Amino acid sequence: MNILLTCAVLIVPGILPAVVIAGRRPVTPFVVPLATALMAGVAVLAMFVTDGSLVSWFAVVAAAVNLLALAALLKGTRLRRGDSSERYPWITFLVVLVAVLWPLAVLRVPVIGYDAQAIWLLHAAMVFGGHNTLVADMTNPSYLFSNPDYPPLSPGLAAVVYVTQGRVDYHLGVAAIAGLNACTLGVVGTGVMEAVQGRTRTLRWGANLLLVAFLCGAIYGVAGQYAVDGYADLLWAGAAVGATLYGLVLSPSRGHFAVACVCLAVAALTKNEGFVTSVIIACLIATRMFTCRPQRARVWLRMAALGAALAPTVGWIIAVRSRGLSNSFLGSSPESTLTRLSATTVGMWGQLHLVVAALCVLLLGALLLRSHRVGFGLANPAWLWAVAVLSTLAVAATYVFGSYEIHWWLASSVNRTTIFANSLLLTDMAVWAVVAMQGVDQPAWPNPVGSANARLEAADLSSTLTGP
Amino acid sequence: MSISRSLERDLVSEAPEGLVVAARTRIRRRTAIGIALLGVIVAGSFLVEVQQAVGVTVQITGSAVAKQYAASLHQFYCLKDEIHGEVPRGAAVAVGSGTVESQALSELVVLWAKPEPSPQHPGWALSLVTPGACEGVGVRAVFHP
Repeated sequence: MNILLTCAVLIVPGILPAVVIAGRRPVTPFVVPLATALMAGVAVLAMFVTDGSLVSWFAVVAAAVNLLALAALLKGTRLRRGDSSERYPWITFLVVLVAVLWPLAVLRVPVIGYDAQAIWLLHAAMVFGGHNTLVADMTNPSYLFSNPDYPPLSPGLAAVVYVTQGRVDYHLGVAAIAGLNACTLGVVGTGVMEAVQGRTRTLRWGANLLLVAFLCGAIYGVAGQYAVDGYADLLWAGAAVGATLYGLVLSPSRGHFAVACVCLAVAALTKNEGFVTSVIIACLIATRMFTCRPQRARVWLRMAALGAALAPTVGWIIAVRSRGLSNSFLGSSPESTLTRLSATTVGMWGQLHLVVAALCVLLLGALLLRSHRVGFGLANPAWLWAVAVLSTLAVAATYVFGSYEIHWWLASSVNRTTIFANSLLLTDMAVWAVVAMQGVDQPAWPNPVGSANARLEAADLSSTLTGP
Repeated sequence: MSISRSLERDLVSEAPEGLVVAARTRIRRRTAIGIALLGVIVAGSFLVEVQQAVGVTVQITGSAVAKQYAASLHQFYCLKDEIHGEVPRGAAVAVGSGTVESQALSELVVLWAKPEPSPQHPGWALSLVTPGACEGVGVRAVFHP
């Protein structure tokens, strides 16, 4: 019975906002828990800054967001239909759902990671205790090991689960975080399906769906055990990949932009590196809007939406700093910058094993499928690669200028901090593969670029035969 | 730039139709090979990672590892119960600092007691001891008057 209550509390508050944001599309059910988690994160921020308990603030935030969503509906915001929703949206949803849920079968085992217990579940217990407990424990030097400045989305969600159970239940807290990880992969999977915008035959559509299912499995493979043992690394990484896909790869429609904003907010409110990556993605989305869209009024509206997506995390950073808490990573180190730089380069390069394959796919795609990609309204892959490079550089800079002993730090975290870059590269490969499947029997044909190339090659041949 | 463009245009318009078709076929073949190569790279990369995901799932659900996780969680709750039985709620407890043991004790007393790096007078000092009732580990609580 309590499990049903927990599921209801994690799903119901997010339904209306998700439907207003994403419309009637296969992605919408995956946005629902993300919207609820965002509300939980904002509720923790409000509770930390003011007073009271999580229940009261969660109720206030959920009611306010749902009233806004209802007002948007009543005002006449039509529910958006997805570009690909004409073709079996329920099957798309169900296949992606199965693809993201099967790894959660391990949750029957109480698999709880070291940092999950020492950071996220510990913070969730503090949140469960209410304002006074949260402030007292976060500012207690004995809890400095748990990075009390970390953003509150995961702890907020786990604490909501504790509230519905009436007790601290670490196993269920991990299940909630792992479920949210799965939702971010669902957003990514359905996003890749939207890349071809329904302009495909049934057989190829099925092949695309199979590819997307494998993409979700592959991202689970990149994340490894961290996907299911309560760590929040896949949560911010998956959300940031979703934000990149919807904001910087798919056509810049209102629906895609709205989903990108939700993903940005989730990534930023989950972890510090998620916030840095979200800022990078938001800047690139803004640049894309200014360079691609002539309607300036809407651009400013969208800029405001990007700002709103990052606002809760900025509020959190200000709130924790006002209590004297700050990031423990940055500081002086006895090791030289050169030593740290070389260790970081070796450590990160060892984890970024998909770069070579992704570069080969990028090269082939750019040579053979560029016109097809443009035809589907997809953005230049340079946007996605810019996110991957800048985010990786930001993580590398943290290692180089950080305070912890570099070899221990890399050994204990580099396989998690590179989940985002590897997942993003896998997603880029999936998008190219989906485009390739549409162009397999019409190679750059009858588009003007391919046609001109053929005529030029024929002309070269002709001139060779006839001589100068 | 414009001169070369116009030269290209002239060459294209002068190319015989048969050669254009042959060139199209060659481009089509090259493109098909390129797309097949792209497919192989993508499929290979995805399969390697999916295999990794399946491996993790199998490893965690294997009986030995699953038992280990269950025992670890049971130990955690058991130690919490021991602390609740020995230390009054809201008390200041010395757990030490900078060690794995002090971190574990700080996690165990959350929502029950206030962890401190060094002993208070009056106050409690906690430590982990072996053997104990919780999967071989126990808690020792000492009151400093």
